[in-house]
Amino acid sequence: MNLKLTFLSFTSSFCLLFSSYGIAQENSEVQYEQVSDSIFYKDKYGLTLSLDLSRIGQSFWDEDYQGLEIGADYRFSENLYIAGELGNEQATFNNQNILNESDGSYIKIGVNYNVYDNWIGMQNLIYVGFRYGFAAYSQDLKNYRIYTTDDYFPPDIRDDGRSFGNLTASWIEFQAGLRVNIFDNFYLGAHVQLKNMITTTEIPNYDNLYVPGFRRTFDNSSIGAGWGYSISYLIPIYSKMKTQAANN
Amino acid sequence: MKNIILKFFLVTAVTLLLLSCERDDICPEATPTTPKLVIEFFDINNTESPKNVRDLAVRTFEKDTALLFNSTSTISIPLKTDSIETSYVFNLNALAESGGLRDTLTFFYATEELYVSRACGFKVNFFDFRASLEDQETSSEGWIRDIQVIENTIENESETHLFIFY
Repeated sequence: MNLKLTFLSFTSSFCLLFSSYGIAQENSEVQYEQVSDSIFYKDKYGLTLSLDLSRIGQSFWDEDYQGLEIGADYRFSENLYIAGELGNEQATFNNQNILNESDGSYIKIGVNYNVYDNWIGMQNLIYVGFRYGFAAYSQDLKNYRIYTTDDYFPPDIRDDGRSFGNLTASWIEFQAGLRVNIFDNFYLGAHVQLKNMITTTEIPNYDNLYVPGFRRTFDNSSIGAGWGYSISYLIPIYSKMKTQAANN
Repeated sequence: MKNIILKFFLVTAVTLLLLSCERDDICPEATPTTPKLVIEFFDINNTESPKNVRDLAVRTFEKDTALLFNSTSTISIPLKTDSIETSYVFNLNALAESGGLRDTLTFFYATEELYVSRACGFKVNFFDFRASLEDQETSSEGWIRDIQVIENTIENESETHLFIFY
C-alpha cells in the first residue's frame, strides 16, 4: 500500500515536472504535444461500522444519562452511502417541578451523500444526509410538584409515580458532518443533526419530554437538534479502480 | 454544494441557539399556573360599591404567619392543593390594639391536576367551589355579613370567584 502511494506521488511529481518542462518548451516556441496520462488507484467500497463516542462520554460524566449508539453505512455508489444508527438511551429530566425518566431504543435509517472531492487515494467524507427515525420507549414520571406562585402553604409534592409504556415516536432528521481517515481503516467523525418530529404517542395530561434518539423535545415546537462524535472502522468489501487524469 | 453544507451548519447553529433560549428550569411568570382564590369586598349597605379593607390579616389555623392586605377591595389567597378544603381566619383591623374583628371562612372544592409545561410542571384547578361562613350567630366579633360564590370553577385569576359583604 505504502509502496503504491509512493509510486503514485512519484508519478504525479514526474508529470508535474514534465508539464512545466512543456510550458518552458512552449516559451521557446517549440511545438509541444501533450501526452495523455492518468493515474489509477483503488477506491475502497465496503461497510463502515461506527461507535458513537459522545454518548459513551456523556454516560460517564452525566449521571442523568446512559446511552449507546452504533452506526453502519454501506457505500452504495461513488458518493452515496446507505446509513443507519441503532441506539438505546436512558435520560432523566429533573427540574424541581418534574422528575421524569425516559428509557428506550431507536433506529434511524437513511442516506449520506458525500460532497467532498478527495485527493487521490484518500477516503475522507464531508457529507449531508437524512434519516427517518423511530423510537420505542417508556416514560416514568417519578414525582412532581404542583406549581404555585405562592409559598404560603408547603410545597405539594406528589410521588405517586406514573409510568407511560409502549410509547413510539417518529421523526425526520437531517445530518451534516465529516469523517476523517486517521489510520488504516479507522476514521473519526463528527456531525450535527437537525430534526422535526412527525408523530408521538399522545400522553393524556402529560407530555413526551425526552425521546430516545430524538433527545429532548420542546413545548411549542416539533424541532430538535443534536450532534455526535464517532469512531468508525471500514470493512473493505471490494475496490473499484479509479482513473484520474494527471496531466495538468 | 459546499455552500449548502455551510448553510446547514449555520442553520443548525442558529436553531440550537434559539432552542437553548427556552429554559427548562424557569417557569415564566405569565404562565397561568395554580390559580388563587380572588375575593372582592363590598359594602353591605350598598352592595354595588366595592369597599376597601383595612389591615386585613388572612391566616390558616396551621400557620402563625398571615397574609396581610390593606386599602384594597380585591384580594387573592391560595387554596391548599393537597386538600379539598381550606379554612382561613379573616381578621379585619388586625393591627388595632383590640386585635380587630375575626371571622372564619371555610372553602370546599374538588381538585383537578393539569399538565402545564416542561418548566412549570403541573397545576391544580378547583371546581365545585363552595364557601361557608362559620359561627355567624355565636361569634361576637364577626364582621362579615354575607358571602356569595360567583364562580364554581376556579381556573384563573382574571375573574373574581367570591364576593364578601360587610
